[in-house]
Amino acid sequence: MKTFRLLLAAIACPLLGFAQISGTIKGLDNGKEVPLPGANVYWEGTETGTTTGNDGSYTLEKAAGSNTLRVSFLGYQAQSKIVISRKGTMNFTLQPSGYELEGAEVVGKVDATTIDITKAGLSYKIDDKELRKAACCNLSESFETNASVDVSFTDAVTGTRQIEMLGLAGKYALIQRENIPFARGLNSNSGLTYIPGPFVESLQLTKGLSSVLNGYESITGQINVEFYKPETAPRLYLNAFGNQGSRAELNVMSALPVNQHLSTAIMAHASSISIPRDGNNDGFADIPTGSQLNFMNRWHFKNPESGWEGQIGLSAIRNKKLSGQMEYLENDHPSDTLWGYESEGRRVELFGKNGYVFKDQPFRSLGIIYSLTYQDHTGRFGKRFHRGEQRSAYLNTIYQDIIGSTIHKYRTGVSFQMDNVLDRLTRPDLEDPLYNQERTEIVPGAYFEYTFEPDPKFTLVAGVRGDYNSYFEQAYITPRLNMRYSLSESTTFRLGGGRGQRTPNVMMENLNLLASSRFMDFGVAQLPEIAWNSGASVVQDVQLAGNKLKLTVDAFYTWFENKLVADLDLGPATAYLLNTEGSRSLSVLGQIDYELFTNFDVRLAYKYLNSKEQFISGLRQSYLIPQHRAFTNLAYQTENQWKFDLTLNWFGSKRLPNSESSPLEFQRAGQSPGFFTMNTQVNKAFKNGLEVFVGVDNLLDFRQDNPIVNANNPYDPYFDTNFTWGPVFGRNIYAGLYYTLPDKKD
Amino acid sequence: MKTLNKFFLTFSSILAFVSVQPALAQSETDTTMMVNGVCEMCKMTIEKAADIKGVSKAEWDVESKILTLVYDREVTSLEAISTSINESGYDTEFNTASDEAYKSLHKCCYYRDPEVVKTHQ
Repeated sequence: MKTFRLLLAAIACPLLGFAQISGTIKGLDNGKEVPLPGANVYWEGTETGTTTGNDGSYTLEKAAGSNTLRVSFLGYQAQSKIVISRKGTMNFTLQPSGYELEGAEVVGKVDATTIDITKAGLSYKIDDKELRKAACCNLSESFETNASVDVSFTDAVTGTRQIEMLGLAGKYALIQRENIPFARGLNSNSGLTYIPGPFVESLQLTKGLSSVLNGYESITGQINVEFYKPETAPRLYLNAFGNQGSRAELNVMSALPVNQHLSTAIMAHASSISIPRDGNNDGFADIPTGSQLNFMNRWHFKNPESGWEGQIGLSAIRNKKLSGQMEYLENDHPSDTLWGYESEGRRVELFGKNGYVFKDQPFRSLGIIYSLTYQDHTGRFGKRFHRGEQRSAYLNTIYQDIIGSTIHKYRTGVSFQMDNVLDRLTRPDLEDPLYNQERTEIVPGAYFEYTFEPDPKFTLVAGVRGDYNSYFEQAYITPRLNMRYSLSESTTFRLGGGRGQRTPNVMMENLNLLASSRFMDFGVAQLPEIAWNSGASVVQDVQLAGNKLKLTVDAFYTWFENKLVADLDLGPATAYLLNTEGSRSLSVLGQIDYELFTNFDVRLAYKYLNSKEQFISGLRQSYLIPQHRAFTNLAYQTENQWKFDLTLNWFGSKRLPNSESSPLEFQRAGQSPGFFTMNTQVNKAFKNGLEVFVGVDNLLDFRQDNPIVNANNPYDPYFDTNFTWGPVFGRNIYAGLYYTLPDKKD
Repeated sequence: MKTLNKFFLTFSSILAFVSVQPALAQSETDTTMMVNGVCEMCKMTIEKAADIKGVSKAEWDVESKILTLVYDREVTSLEAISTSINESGYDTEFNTASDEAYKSLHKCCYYRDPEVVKTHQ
């Protein structure tokens, strides 16, 4: 009735003549109020809106059907006010949205996973609440409750769980930590296992091509992980985890303010799997034993008087894994008769960010991001040994400003990337390495990105970057375009496309192939992988039985101008690595999120993947990518802080490498069967900052029998671990706790 | 039936405010006005502010945000009542309160803030 009255009042409004709301929009800049020209002012849920003038003032007619006036501005938190008056003054003072070189971020804080409706790209924000739904352990396992990202079952030996997006391996997504490329080069496969889940405050998942600001490497999407920062980290935070499979984890985090301008945070992680287990009696450990140490110390500096802000940090990681035949593990030293897998990866990084916001012009800022990284890998696969080293330097600058008003915004800058990579495969009994590559890429680049935002309903982001690669002696142009149109508050369309590129590390990215008796045929010249991606999506909110239902449908198509393909179809003796044109992947996802009743959330998703690669024998389905995939997540939370979570996954049939030319006993079906997996978890949070959880992975105890071909004779032909399409490890019960020391009340 | 009543009451209140010529027959007027507010403390302030000279009845309902008024048109006007309410810090359907007046309210009465509104629901 209220709205009806308002509607009536609005209709009658012209009778009263001059009936407008006016006011001034100001922003808090270093404690001072400054007028914000070009801020968006609109009545929520209507098409009535305006932008502020040079002095930050606006005048707006009262819209029919809405009494919520909303103001948003780049770099500030959006603000709403309930206004029932037809006439009068309504001033706003916006709070800065915090230190964000990325710029506008208007994200609701209510849901654990939110789609950012103001962004031109389809972008999900996933916070620590959602991440705690899958308590174990590192980020590669944290996507269990997300339908857009799949976690693969990797080969039965190395145990590296890779992610998949849009039907393509995780290496085609750009994985960043706070806008600094993280999992790239040598650790593009294992990078997410280097991110302990409890370090993560939130992450942003963008499907399809992201901003040119972040470089040219993203093809299928971008995952930007925000760690806890000195300003946001608790004084003390503890996380402990243990499971049936002898995995133990400990995470400690502490933030310490040094003085009013300077603060620091320390994060440490230690984990281990100590006891090898062979549940399927094939003589091989089901998952590797090993350990990881991960340490990070970061500093944050802010001087409100000068406008400068900066952070610097140091990260060090060591990851060790041991697997293979059980006797090999028990003897714990190399033996020529037993097949063993050993891997040690190390990574050291120094990174930093500096930002400067121009006084009285909060829409104008300058940011510098840099990092220096050393990483290496030493591995053993039976009689083959791998050595990888990478030294990288990265620098990116971001200058953002407006043209006239915030309708026209732009970001521009120059970047620099240097990679010195060694990727070598040897056999001790052979003098020459099986594969040996040492290269240095020096890539200076520049970008320009223009954002057109004529009203809150429409955004267009057009970006282009040019980079020169010293190794390929070639310049590359990377164009990208994203558009968003909100038909109404509840319907948003998106469209985007463009180009992406990356330099593959041939051996490092295909280490899983070495867990076989296959000969590696490197018929490849080192070429960049180049792909074009386009996508469209619709997000629709529907009110159903008093609760909001969110329907998301998206479709993405990726086409490779060049892709490094591993072909295992031409017999069991060889793995061919080659560059081909024409690989493609179509991904269509439909997802429903609905609060069935208070605090009971349901997520249903179905994904169709048609991922094909150009093999030697022609265009065929990619290995181990299911064409059909379905997913359900049920989450219930009680008023007294109990949380129940259940995930049911269905994987359709996956194509396996062709084994028709093997002897009958070593042949495998060309397609895997479809199967279900289920995970569940219960959390209970207490008022004193303690949260405990217990859960079960693979509740249905579904396992693939005989994941390894010819496991009894690993040094004979046909030994192969690349037919792993399902879980190797059975039901696994785990438990753990989080403890956050409550903030001092002062 | 109640809603229909409100419909006519609203409509008549607008007409009453618009019409410049006072009616001759009866100066005692029965009408309503929308006033935004969220709680019982708001109710006290609004009703007190509405109770100016010439007003014989002022009752505000927190659910519907409707202020029911009986006043003498020869003594005061709807506009004057609205202004008095604005000065106490509350927005009426006709006009807004000044920032100073709004800020002088107790924090729990910040009826423009959607977060505050949510806590009162």
